[in-house]
Amino acid sequence: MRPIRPYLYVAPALAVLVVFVYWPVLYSLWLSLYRWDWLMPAPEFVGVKNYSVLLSSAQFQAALWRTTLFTLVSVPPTLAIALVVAVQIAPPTRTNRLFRSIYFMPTVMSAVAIGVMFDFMMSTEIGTFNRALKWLGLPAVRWLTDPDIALYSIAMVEVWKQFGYAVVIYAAGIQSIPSELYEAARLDGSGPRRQFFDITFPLVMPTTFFLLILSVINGFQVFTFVDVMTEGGPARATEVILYYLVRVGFESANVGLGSAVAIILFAILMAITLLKLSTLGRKVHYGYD
Amino acid sequence: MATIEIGTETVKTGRRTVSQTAAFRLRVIWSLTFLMLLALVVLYPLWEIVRISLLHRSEVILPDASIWPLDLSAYQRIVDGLSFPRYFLNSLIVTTTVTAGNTMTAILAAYAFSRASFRGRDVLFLIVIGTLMIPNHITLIPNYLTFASFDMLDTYVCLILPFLASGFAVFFLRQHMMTIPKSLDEAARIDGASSWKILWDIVVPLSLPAISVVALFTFMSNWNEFIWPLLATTSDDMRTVQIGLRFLLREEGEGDSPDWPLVMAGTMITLTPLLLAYVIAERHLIRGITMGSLK
Repeated sequence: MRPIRPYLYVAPALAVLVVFVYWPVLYSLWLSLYRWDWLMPAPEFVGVKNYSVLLSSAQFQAALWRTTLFTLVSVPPTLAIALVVAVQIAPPTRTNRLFRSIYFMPTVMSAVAIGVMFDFMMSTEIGTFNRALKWLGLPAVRWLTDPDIALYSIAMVEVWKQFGYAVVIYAAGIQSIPSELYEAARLDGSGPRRQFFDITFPLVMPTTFFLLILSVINGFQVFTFVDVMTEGGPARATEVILYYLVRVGFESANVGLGSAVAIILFAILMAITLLKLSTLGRKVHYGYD
Repeated sequence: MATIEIGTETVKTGRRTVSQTAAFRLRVIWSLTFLMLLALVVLYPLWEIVRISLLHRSEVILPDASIWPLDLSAYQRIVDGLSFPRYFLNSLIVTTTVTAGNTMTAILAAYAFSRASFRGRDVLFLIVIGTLMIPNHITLIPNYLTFASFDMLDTYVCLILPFLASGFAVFFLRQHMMTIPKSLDEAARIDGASSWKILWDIVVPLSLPAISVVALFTFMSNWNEFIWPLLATTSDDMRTVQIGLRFLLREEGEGDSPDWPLVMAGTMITLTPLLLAYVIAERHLIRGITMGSLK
């Protein structure tokens, strides 16, 4: 290629990414040091005040804790169910592929549609869940309107949507384990349980780690289900961090404070990502590379 | 003594084989039951969408409402209403433009990154894939302000422009293009082909599988995009289907209860293009996903 050409080829992609991804990071940093709502003519410099306000704000702390709780209760079941399933459907037979396609389907569906669907199924009066409970002779549960339960209900929906992705990734990981290991184990008389704990589980550790980080990052950015199913309610019981950001930054138009929230969340996610990068080199399993 | 031992060993082995076969069969049955139950858990909610969308408004509260005879009035109401067809059209316009545009910028950039050597290439590539570490949420407020300052909120431009490049797409295509032998380019260059011609006559045809994975991913994720169009659109006319569906859930119906058949018909319409794409291209999609993660 002539010298100038390569730059022309990469220019469109770079321009978009610089303007709409990198510039926003800098802009957010800058905004987070100012007090500004859209009624004010000009932003007013306040230093790190937005951060200190946030860190001592009960609402912010509560939102951060809820997000953490949401992640803690949704990620482990997602991975556990996915691994149990993947062990059974890893070989690409016709039946297994059919199961895999079914489990993966929710991952491509829109979160709004899924939210709407479960909003109906979890509604107190006519929802499918409570109909099933009634049929079993159990009392009705206010899945989305009880402040003590709503966050867990949304976590359940998150598991429903995400586990299929983990199944596919786990299945690929399991497929890459050399079959001689299982043959040797069988010759030694190990049953399926031993094979799972001695071979499969340790050898898919890198996959588990990858999925863990990815799911935690996703969990911290949950927004759509909350917006569709509970609007952060009841009584802010499901107001997660991103929902708080939108409420502060857009609904209250407090741009500076909203940007500080964005920066703090960014720092948290960055720390998690770096954890992932730092372990990329050394794989978390032994043998076979 | 020795023979007896061998004898018992044989019997033992034999017995173990028999019991293992029985255990194996039991395990298969358990496994299938489990997998089928889980498939039911995934599929049943989809059936609920279809079922409710085919009911009349007054029937939703009845536990044993039958969908026979088929009542398509909810779909009729969705199509006759002015808003939802408009949302669908908006989504189509935005998503097809984004899919074409993002695929195009990715092809161009990946081509240069994979086949040319130029000053600053590695730094520029790092800048591109560095975006993979920057979460979407941090762009919301700044991009909102950027478009506001150009008075372009609530337009197609603001729904399309930020999605016209992605670090993942460039990375994914570059990985693929690196596997195409460079001797092909050189042969073409000797014949006098320009780099532009080499791209379209040699590299793109050989990258079609990877390009279609990128296009598919872009289509799906942009069709499902929620938070940005929610914030960036203010008028009913500019909403995408996802946003339209969200407001349909909140605004329609009497009192507290949404108009469920109407909402579910809207959900079906929102899901259809995606489920179609999924059924057609599921294998490519799963291949793309596993390739992306195992790198």
